[in-house]
Amino acid sequence: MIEGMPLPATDDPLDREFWSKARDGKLVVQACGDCGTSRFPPRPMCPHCQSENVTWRDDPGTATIWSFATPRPPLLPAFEAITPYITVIGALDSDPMIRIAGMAVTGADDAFTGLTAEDVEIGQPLTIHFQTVSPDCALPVWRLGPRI
Amino acid sequence: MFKDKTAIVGIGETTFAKNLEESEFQLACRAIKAALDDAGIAPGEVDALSCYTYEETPEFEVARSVGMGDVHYLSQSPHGGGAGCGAIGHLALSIAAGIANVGVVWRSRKRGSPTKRLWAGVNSVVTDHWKWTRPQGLVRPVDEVAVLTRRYMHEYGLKREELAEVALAMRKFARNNPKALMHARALTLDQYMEARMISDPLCLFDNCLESDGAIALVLTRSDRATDCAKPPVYIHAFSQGMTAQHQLMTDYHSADPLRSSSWACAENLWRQSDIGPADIDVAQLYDAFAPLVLFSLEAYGFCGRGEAGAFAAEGNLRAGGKLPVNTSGGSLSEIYLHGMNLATEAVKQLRGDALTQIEGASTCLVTSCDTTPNGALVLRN
Repeated sequence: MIEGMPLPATDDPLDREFWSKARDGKLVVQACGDCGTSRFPPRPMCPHCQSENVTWRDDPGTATIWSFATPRPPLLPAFEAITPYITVIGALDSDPMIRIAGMAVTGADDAFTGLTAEDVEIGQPLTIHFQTVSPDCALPVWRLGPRI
Repeated sequence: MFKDKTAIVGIGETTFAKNLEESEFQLACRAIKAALDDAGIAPGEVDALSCYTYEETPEFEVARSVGMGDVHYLSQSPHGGGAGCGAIGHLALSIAAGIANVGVVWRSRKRGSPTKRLWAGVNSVVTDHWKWTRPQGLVRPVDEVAVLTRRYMHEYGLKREELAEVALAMRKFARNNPKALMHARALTLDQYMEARMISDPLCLFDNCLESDGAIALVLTRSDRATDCAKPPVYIHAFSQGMTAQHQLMTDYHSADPLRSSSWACAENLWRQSDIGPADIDVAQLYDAFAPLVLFSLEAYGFCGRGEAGAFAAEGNLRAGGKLPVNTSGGSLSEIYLHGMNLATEAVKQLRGDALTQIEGASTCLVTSCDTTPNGALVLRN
């Protein structure tokens, strides 16, 4: 979708469940199969109980902005072409310790170009959405809710 | 076992420039030879080598070019900006433990060309932890630090006018340092406030230089150090630091992301040190980005949490302030060599021959990058 954009590997056994569900437009969060603690980004072992048992819990994908950045040139050409854009870190309502980066999108067509720092604020509500960027990758993006 | 058992006895620097003709290999050799000459130690005496994992000149090439003898200890400290104090500390440990006798640490880097910037080499398929931020638009280190700075501003009310003082204070020191890349360029608060944003709230002047050069240091046992050509600078305390749940640069996932790896490093550093924060005369704080200086001031205990902006704005980072910081101009205004110039400036201050000499300086804190696994040193004369 964006020429030259770096894309995540989506076939790693560690996190392919995330990317598989992402292609279906659903957010799942890795959680410990024993103690149940959620963790992000995915990793092989639970840092709380050292279990290697993994589950993936469905998450409604509502969140608030923990922080954000507004990158400006000089950037990689792929990103320079889409400025101004904003990357937000969304803290999930279900577990605010789970913080997921994604571009902020707006409008009926979920456009990410055209947003500036004045359009967002920390604490603003978000809803996750997945945008297909290649045949095997849908990236998480954040739809902006109303300013608080 | 460790405290004051080793000393920095030689420092060497190449020319600093936006673009140098020589290769990183050539520059490394030149800086190491200069450091050995400064110490009055022959290359054949060197038996320990330490560098960064990001260093691209291999140890064997350096050793066989400079003419070192048999080497007994080889070490690398992780990453780039976080590695400097670790690389020095590892050498000091090997010497204090009796494994090695004379150690050399170096950093050679050509970064002036835009193609040399780390982020310019972002792969088209991202397989490691960067997959969770780079495709999402956090492409460069400045974007990653902007996220933390924005959050810090939200929590503590830091103003851009306060943050500006970091760049302004470093530039003032650089104006007194002919080697500094920004020696000839004055910087005013108005210029800072009107500068273009690179990643809001970070503007051009909050970013380190892109530059070429190399720096080396020579360490040896304290009882050997007093025979060297220059006065020894003793390594009093050392620690590395990495907080629980740390993630490199994009450290957004711990319970308190603004409690950076510097906090872990600082607690263990001061635990070992007879010299406390109140006893530090001058500091060299890693400054690839201006906010890292503020974060480090708090982590190392020079002011309370959320108070670093006001501390800086009161003029405390300048000559005559409570804690002069980055007195050669630092990474923002002298040279960006992943912090190695901070170590050589510390040595100059404690030898008493710095260009902006802090009167009576007898203790200096040197730190590495706040937002990566890092390290710090307490040095004294």
